[in-house]
Amino acid sequence: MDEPSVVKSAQNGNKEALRLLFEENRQKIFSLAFQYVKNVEDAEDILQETFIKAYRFLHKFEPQNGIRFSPWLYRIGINCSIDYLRRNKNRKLERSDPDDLDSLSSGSGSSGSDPEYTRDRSEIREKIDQTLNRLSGRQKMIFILKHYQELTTAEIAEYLDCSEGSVKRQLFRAVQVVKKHLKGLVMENSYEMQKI
Amino acid sequence: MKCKKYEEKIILYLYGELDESDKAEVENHLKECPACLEDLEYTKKVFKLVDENKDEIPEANWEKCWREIGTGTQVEPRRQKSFLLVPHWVYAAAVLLVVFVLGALIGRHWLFSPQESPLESGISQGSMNLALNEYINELKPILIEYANYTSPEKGEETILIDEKILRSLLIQNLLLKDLVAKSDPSLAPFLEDLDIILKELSNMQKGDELTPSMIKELIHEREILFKMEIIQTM
Repeated sequence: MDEPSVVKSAQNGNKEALRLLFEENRQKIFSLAFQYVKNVEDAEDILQETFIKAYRFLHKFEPQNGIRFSPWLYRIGINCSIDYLRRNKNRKLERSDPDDLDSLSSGSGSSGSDPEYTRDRSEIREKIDQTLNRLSGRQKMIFILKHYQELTTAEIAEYLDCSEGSVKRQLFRAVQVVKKHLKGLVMENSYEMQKI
Repeated sequence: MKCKKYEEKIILYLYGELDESDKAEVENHLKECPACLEDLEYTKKVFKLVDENKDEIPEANWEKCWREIGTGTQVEPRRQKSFLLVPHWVYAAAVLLVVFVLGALIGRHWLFSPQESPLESGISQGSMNLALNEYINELKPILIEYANYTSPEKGEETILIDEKILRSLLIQNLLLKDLVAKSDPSLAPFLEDLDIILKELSNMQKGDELTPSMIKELIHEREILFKMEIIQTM
């Protein structure tokens, strides 16, 4: 069954069709939310909020307007992530246990089991998180959409409902902050590389 | 020293976001400007560091999420034929409700002398203008400060507004929005802009250099100070 038919079926109350639509998009939304909050539980909360919101507004989604379901859902996911961070700004969102996350990647790199390498890596990640947390919620989202999700500035502008110029300006500012606050780390790393 | 004109373009160049002519312009400039070339190389290193330290994305506990979604979606989505599925007693209840509300309204109008709510009776158009003027007087110096914002020198700290003052300004804004909605809705977008600025200010933290420049941009883009002048001369 093609996407519009599945959407139509979900709009008519077919829970299986709804589940299918959500399942197809869950990892994409979860990965965005996780990159944004760096915590599995919070990212799962965002995923749930996104789907609940999408379910409530499903009757307003009109595939005949040339809009596809996945980008529509992704847009809701972006907004839910920004709202979630704003609502929880007074609560420090702890990143998920680095050991748990590293165990996921330990198979992919030869240094995965080296405790010193893992510690260094988690310190670097912590520093990158701190730097990204200096950005406003929207700037952080733009940086993540561009840098991690590899969207174009035109796509980001469409998702965030603003001009491409505004996205470019905010991206520039975000990168300036990142450059400024990671300077020490970059220097250290370059030095380490030279030593090797 | 790197060239201000190319700072943004270099970043967009690295992201592959420039059109052919801008790309060629940047490339030509990089050939003759060592400072910008150095900036480009440094930015590349930063991007590399960020890329190499990306977190692996874990799997969401989908079964748990789906259960939660199920609890959060107990209300069925609106369907095209949903009115046919509504039980008959709902119609009866709705009719009763309409009769009751109409009765209450008619009764109130005919049986009692018209009384305004304390909020409506206490604030006339004139006193609302006064309240708005006072509010603008209080807020204007703060906004002028941000309208003229320049990045702080090394060692200087970003000016933070006292939390209590901001809270009071936000509450006043809320009350004014309520009053304006009743008397002059054309002012609502202006108060909405002020609300955004005040919220940005309350979220601002020490050392934050971006929020002040964003606020500055907002003040200029929305012509906030000009609008304040106009309102005060009204």
